[in-house]
Amino acid sequence: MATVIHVTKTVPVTNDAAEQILSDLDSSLLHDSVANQLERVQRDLRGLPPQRSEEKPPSNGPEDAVYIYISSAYMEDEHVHKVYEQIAHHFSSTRYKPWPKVDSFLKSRPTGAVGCDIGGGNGKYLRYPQVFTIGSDRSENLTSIASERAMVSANDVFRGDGMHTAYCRGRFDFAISIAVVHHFSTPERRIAAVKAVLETLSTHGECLIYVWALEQEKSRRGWHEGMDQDVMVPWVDNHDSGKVVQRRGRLYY
Amino acid sequence: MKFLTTNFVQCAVQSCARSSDAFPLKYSECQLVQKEIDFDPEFIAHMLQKLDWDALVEVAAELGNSSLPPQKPTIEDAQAAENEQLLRDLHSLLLETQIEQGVMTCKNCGHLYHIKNFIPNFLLPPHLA
Repeated sequence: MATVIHVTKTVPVTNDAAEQILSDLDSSLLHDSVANQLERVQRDLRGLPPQRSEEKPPSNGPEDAVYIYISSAYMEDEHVHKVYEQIAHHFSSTRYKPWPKVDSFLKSRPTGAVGCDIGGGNGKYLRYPQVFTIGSDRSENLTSIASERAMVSANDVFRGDGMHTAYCRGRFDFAISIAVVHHFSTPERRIAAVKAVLETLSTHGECLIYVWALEQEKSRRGWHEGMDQDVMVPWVDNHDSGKVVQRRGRLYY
Repeated sequence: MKFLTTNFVQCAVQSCARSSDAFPLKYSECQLVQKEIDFDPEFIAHMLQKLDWDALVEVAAELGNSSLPPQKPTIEDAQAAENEQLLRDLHSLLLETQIEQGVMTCKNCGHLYHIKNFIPNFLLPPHLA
């Protein structure tokens, strides 16, 4: 399944559009339980690989759903934000190398492009001199580290939430969301997070969204070595009576 | 927080997202510091095209700079000698002028955001998030 998607914004931002992107990214993430999500987050933070055998089956009962909905913000706060705050310095020291796909996306932005890095952590992508990138993150410690980098270059940084962003809507040439969306603990919140990324973009703005792969090496979901990584992804344009248009999209596996 | 960034951030409250009063924020009690950044005339000329000039003039005035022209200047050749001073002035204003601390207020909902140690904090309290 895809873990990264490169989208060119061509139509108004809707929940459906955001949901489509999430399902392109990895449909199983949308249906995963909070417990599994958190376990994955914590394993990743400790540098451990995903451990599928220990994953609990997703719980689908209505009571669970209500519980998950109510507690999701608290769970993220307790298990994601506080963890990142505690491990910020160690985490940052291990996260200095740009991921190649992100690197090539950012290198190919034209001079003077304005972009945002939502959930940008220690600001490791604030290093491309031809663009102005404003990074944001919830973590105070990671934002401080990012600020040191941003202050002496043509970039900037602020503290902010991935669902309620302070970025001006429709003004950014590009946006990146790298290993962020999977931290949101319910489908509704992940949709809101993807929507927030899309909303920053100007009409032909492009974004790159990366999530963790549930299974990186197994081909259970149908992908195998040698398959074409470029696909056309249908985008439902709600403003044109649900007409499906093809938008340019690239999936990386 | 660079002066340039004030041109790209608005109130984070959901109900303000579509309000024309949520941008620009109102800047007050600001302490400004000049920090040296490498000058790239091409970059500044491109950045000029991206700016919401009215918002820039408004925020500059709040921060004590009323010398900006009311209309956005146009620059066709970033390398031309006659444009160098203007580009240097813009560079100094947009990138080198940084807000160390201050308060940002939404003109729509009145919510206050603080800038501390050069970092604006746009996290919302639970009842607004």
